Amino acid sequence: MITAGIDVGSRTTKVVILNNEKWIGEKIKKTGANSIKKAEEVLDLALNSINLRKKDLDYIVATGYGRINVSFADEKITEITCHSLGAHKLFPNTQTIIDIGGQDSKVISLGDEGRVDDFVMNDKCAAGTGRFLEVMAGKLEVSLEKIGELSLKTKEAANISSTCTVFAESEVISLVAEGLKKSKILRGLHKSIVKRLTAMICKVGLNKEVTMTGGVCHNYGVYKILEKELDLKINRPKKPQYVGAYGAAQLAYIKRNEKNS
Amino acid sequence: MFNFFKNKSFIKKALNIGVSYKIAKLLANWKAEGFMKEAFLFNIEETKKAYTGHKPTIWCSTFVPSELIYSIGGVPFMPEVAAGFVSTIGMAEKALHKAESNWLNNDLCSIHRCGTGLMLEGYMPEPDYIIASSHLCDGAKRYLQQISREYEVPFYLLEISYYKNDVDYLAQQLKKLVNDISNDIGNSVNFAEVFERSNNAYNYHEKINELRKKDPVVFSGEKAMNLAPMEFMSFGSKRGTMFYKKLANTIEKRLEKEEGVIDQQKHRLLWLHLKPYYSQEIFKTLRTKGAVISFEEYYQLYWDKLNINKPYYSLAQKMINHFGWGELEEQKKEILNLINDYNIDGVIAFSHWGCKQNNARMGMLKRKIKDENNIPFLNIHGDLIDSRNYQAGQLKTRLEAFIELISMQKREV
Repeated sequence: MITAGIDVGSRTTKVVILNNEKWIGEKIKKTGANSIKKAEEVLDLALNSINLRKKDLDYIVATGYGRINVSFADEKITEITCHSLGAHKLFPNTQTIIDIGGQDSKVISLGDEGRVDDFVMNDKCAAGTGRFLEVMAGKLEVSLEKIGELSLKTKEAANISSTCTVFAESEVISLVAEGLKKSKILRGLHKSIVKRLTAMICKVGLNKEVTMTGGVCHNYGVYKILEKELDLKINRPKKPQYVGAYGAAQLAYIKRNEKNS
Repeated sequence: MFNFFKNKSFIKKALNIGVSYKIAKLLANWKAEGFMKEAFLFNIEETKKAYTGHKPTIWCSTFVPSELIYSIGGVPFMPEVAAGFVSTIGMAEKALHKAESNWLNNDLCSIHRCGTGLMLEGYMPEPDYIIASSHLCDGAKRYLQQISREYEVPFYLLEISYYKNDVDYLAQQLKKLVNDISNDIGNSVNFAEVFERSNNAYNYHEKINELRKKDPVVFSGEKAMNLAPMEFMSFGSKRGTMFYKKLANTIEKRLEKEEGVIDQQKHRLLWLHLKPYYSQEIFKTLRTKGAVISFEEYYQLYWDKLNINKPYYSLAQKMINHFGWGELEEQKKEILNLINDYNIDGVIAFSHWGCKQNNARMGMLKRKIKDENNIPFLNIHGDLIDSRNYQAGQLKTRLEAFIELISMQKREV
């Protein structure tokens, strides 16, 4: 049985293809302005890469903010549920998920079999998300891929008091003007993200094991500070951005089986 | 002393209201039926009375019992309810803008900001007296005191004790207030008739609350909260009694015919606090997932029927016994009773921006409901009046995820 999970996020669209629960293909592209078209395009690219066609698919589940627009999906399920199942399949003992995506962050507490027990999401603004880091990296003229590594070159962190992206940007400009090292500023920014996350974690409760998902997982700086702050080892998937799409594809497999039985 | 038509612009408005009143009443009689017709007529008639000033218009905060005002012979006008209405018809933004242009900070409660904007725009009926209670809403008493200065009318603050057995202190204040205002107006106080109406409405309301425990849900929380003005303002009025009588009959008939709010009802939810009054998709999102609000906190009958032999004590008891006042342990117990009585699958608690009495309890409620009793609990943040604080996409994801969570717990997914 071939199933697909499509995660239309605010920054990127991800597709994962499964053959009887086994991961056989994936693709990621920036979402851009037309999320419907992008979902179709990324799905086609993922299928082409493994020599399959849309007609080969038995079930499609769409997730992410743009899920509602994926009219060709058989079902639309929220990213909370999809991330939970995805993380559970990758790390079966996961009890807490910390997901930092492009424009939101969430903490999910899991019950048995990857079922959601509780969750919290960031409110309204993009503070503490991938977009926040993207803006700051741009301001510091450091590529997004390198900010994590650079921030770990120092133990000292600049004090970033504002969590609002726009105000934090002003703070960064002031710190640069004062001649502070970029590494210190970046460590300060990462600490401010972790501070927000730990407040969210407290709301749902921290249970071991913890798995981190989402694009910001690639940022080793945030990951390490979070581990230190929580004083535990955090699971880090090889392809953290795909966890939601992977969970969606797994749900597609379950749903198709339910319909067949 | 209260005055009829204090200025010319007000007279002009009152005359316009006379025409609007006739049209509205005609429409209500022609288009609406049953309990909705009573609700429309109640609101139209009371609004007309408030604007035309033939009886003293008494502004009060929402936790002042309407029976108190009817007994004195006044017309209750609750600016907080008016703000909700204005938000429903999509006019709140203009009023909010007006208030903000006059130095009212955005961090203040939008209900009071909107009310102030409406006053500044000249849309409110002029008060003859203003009464506020000190309990529950911290902002209301300050806001209403400010308004009393603008209009130069007497302001009464009812100080409510935190302890529910301290009723006498409030009863004495009520007695003094009634004496002062009734002497000023020259009216005799009529507790008997007003209390009888209130108690009759109470009987029907009690029946409604019993009927709402049954399946399917035939009267949604969304509708009940749309009709919140009836909860706050109609007790003690003739229309109020008729409204609850007709509503009870309608619910009974719908239950007989099994006319549920949604076709495939899967989950019964409890709603805490009030709902946003502007156009939003919260309840539609829930309905499409098979979930319906089967009861809401504000529909509780938290007081005993009023006692004509002890009118002040009785009214004081109604105020002090409000479900949101006093020890949090009591609130938690009552909410757990509602969860049990109404066969609740999940609780949605709405946090209104800047509302201290509601927001401060969230952590404790969540621990009690979710952590200790394993009932799914969702706290959503938003605004009752100001649609600029409504984040449609984010809210939709939270609501859908919450229903998925409930379904998973029931092993439906």
